Amino acid sequence: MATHEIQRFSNSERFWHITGAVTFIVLAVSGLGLYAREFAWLTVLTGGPYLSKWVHFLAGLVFALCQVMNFVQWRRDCSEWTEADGDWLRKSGGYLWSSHADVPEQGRFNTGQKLMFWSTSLESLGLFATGIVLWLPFAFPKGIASLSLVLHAFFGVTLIMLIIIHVYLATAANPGTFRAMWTGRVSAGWARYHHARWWKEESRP
Amino acid sequence: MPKLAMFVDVTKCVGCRACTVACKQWNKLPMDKTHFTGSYQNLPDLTPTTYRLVTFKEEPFGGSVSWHLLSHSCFHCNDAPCVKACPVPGAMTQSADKGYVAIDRKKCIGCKYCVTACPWGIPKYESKSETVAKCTFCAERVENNLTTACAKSCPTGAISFGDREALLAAAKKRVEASKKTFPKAQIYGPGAYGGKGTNVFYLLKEEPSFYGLPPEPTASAALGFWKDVLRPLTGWGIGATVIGALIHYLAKGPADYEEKGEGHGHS
Repeated sequence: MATHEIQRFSNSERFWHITGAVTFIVLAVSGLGLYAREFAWLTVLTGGPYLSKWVHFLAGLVFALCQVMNFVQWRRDCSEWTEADGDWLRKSGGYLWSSHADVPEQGRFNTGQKLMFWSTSLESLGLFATGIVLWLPFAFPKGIASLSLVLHAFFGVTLIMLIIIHVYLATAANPGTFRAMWTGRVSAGWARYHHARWWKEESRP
Repeated sequence: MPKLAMFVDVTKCVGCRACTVACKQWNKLPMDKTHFTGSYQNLPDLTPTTYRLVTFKEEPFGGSVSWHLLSHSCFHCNDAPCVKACPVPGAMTQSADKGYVAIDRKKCIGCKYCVTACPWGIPKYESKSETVAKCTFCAERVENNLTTACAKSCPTGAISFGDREALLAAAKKRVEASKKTFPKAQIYGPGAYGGKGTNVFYLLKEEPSFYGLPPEPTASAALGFWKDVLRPLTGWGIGATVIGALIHYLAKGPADYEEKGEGHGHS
């Protein structure tokens, strides 16, 4: 390991997160393309409307698996909740109305990341359940099928919005973050700045 | 061009099934395998290769039996739920001037949204071709000033085809005359969807539920919310999120940490 660098994510964590990210982009594009005629031009990117149907279905199965694995590998780190998390929320993590210096030291994941984890996990579960109904609508009562249409679109659109925020925070807003996903490593300075408590635990001899 | 319609007067139907044969012939549809169930009715329901079906409902009548016949197919609704549900441009469409609902199976991707949306269960999914099929109002004939095949073949005048307003007026006259024989006679279709109505309507001898038809056909509220509320918000929601991130970046800038030095960095 190079000096001033520490390992943030294991190979398996990177694999499931990167695979999930790629399939998510495919799902967002094909999903919007299949939502309504105004967005149908997007299906050009996934092989036209007919192929988009299959691409969306198959990518959805892969994404569901990724999300299960992400849930399994991060659920413990994302389940710890202390007073510091309430404090982080009151100070908006230093992103909106407080400065970063006032925000309590964070563990492996900060409060915002934990909330992102739980909301994306729950929405993915909702998308999977309603997606299965939409794929096999005749196996369910008509009311369930049409309700699934609404819920699938709602979960899908709100998940896209959450992921836009997630991507912005992991790239432009916080330089030095994206490499954690890609290479698994972060600089010591980054770790100290963003996750001081985690950094102290990691750098303990 | 005025709106076109079909009016099915069940009091004139004799159950000859010429309409279903003409429909199969014009649309070049193969036969469906039937199973004898003790009824004169051919199939229990419409299929991807049967766009029109006469249902035979039997009722004891004197020492014999009375048939309640219903030659039925797509209702060609105004503001049709299937058209609203269809995500593919040009797959399920409503003729702007004539009013009928046609499906282009070359464009259909088999998402089945229209099947879920239709209050009557008219569109039928064919797994072999991964497409949906239903009555097309004989669009190719109608666009060339011909009568629909079913109406053309009907020997008793039970199915009439023509200008919607004229047929509605005729239906109103017929329902009054029929009430002497059938007290529950009523017109079914024009009142659907809170009055938006259908372009194929019926003179029924009995209540709609007697024939297995929904008394108040409506598009599901979920469908309306999905397409009329959530869909317009989609672009705004995603756009607002991107613009929000952009504004945040311009106002706050990137979080700059110091690579060396002790404790917290400063932004």
